[in-house]
Amino acid sequence: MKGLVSGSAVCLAPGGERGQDTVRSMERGTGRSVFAGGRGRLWMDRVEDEILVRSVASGDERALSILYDRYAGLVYGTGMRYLGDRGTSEELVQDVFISVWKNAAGFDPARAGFATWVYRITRNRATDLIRRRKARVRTLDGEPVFEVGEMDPSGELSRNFDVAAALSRLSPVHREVLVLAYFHGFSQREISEHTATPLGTVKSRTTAALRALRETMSFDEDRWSSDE
Amino acid sequence: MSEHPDTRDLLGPYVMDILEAHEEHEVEDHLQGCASCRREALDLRLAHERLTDLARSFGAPPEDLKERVVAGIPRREPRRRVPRWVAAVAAAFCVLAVIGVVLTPDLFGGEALASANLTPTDRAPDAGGEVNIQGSGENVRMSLEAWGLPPCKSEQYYELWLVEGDERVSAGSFTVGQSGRVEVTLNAPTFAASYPKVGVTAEYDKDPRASETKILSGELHDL
Repeated sequence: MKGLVSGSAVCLAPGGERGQDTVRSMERGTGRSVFAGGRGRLWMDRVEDEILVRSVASGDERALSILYDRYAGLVYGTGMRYLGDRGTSEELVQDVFISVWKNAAGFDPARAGFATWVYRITRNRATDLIRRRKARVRTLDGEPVFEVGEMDPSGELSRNFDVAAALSRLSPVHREVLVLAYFHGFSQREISEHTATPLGTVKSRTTAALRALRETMSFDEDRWSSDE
Repeated sequence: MSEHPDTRDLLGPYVMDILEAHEEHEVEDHLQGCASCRREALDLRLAHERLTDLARSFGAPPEDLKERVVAGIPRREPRRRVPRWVAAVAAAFCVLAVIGVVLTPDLFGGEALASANLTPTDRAPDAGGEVNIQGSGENVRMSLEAWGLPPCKSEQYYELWLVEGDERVSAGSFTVGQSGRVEVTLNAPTFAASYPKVGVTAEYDKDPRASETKILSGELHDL
């Protein structure tokens, strides 16, 4: 199982009433929850990114917690891919979310969605960390001993942030079934047992969830292309 | 679609390649004769591939990282009622501070690191500007003063970039009204002054890369 189980971070806690139980059980498994939990937390799991950022701007740490859960795994994975070591990847995650905290008031959802914004922060901070490391190497040896590739030349990273955003906009039951399948590696039968849902319903729900995700992705693409 | 509800419900697990063999045959038999389900399967497969890419890109940060992030965020102190005499003294200090900033900008603004004069492209031949980078340690800022910029249309904005070769790092974005003038101070990457060039582009979309609509550019010189 990837991601969610081993850390309280990583996005996309499954939602819904049963999903909330899943969230709680995962938090039990990883020790205490850092941020305040309770009813506010449960309610916020269903809130769109852009609204959460507004709460972050007013100093709400729970909102930052939800955004961390949704995107920290992706930011950390980006660090591991482009920076290559755990320490610097952790530094990247810290830098990105502290930047979100500090600059939330300046976030303008009319200009770009949260996923795009956090992608930009991640890319810029990662570039900054790469440059810092290059500078250290130059200081030691006079010449760089390694070169780090261009950040996201194919746009795959940007696309992943968009998909993460689309996933966060699904209904809790749809999000739950996809998160369990793709991020926990659950089989359909395991999802059925885990959620106490008939196997046939899990299959049809998986289809409906993929369909909803596809429609959300299309909506996002249309929304941005109509802005041009 | 009402004539094939069961098969259609299996299309998700089908594109994920997790159906039982007999179910898979059933779906494939159906797809051969149903164009709408074939289109649906293509759509679902795209969603499946994007999700697979996303899951592959995820890492598992250490369990205590969230706690460290929280510990690192600057606290916002609740507002307290300030006695009137304290406010008066503070106001006096503010006036003195402003005078100090005007007379000795480096004292409050941090060390001046680099500057650039901005020259226009053909897209805005009357435009011009200046960029100054100042600060120290983690606290580096870029001040931009520009004029003659075409006013922003709906959804349009300008973006200031640090440039080295093909690399572009955003230093922030801004909009310009009818005056065509802007004075803005932006938080900058720590190594901002190490870039050889800066530039301003006009942006219209969410693409995080710099657009090809270059408006101003200039070479950074260390101070």
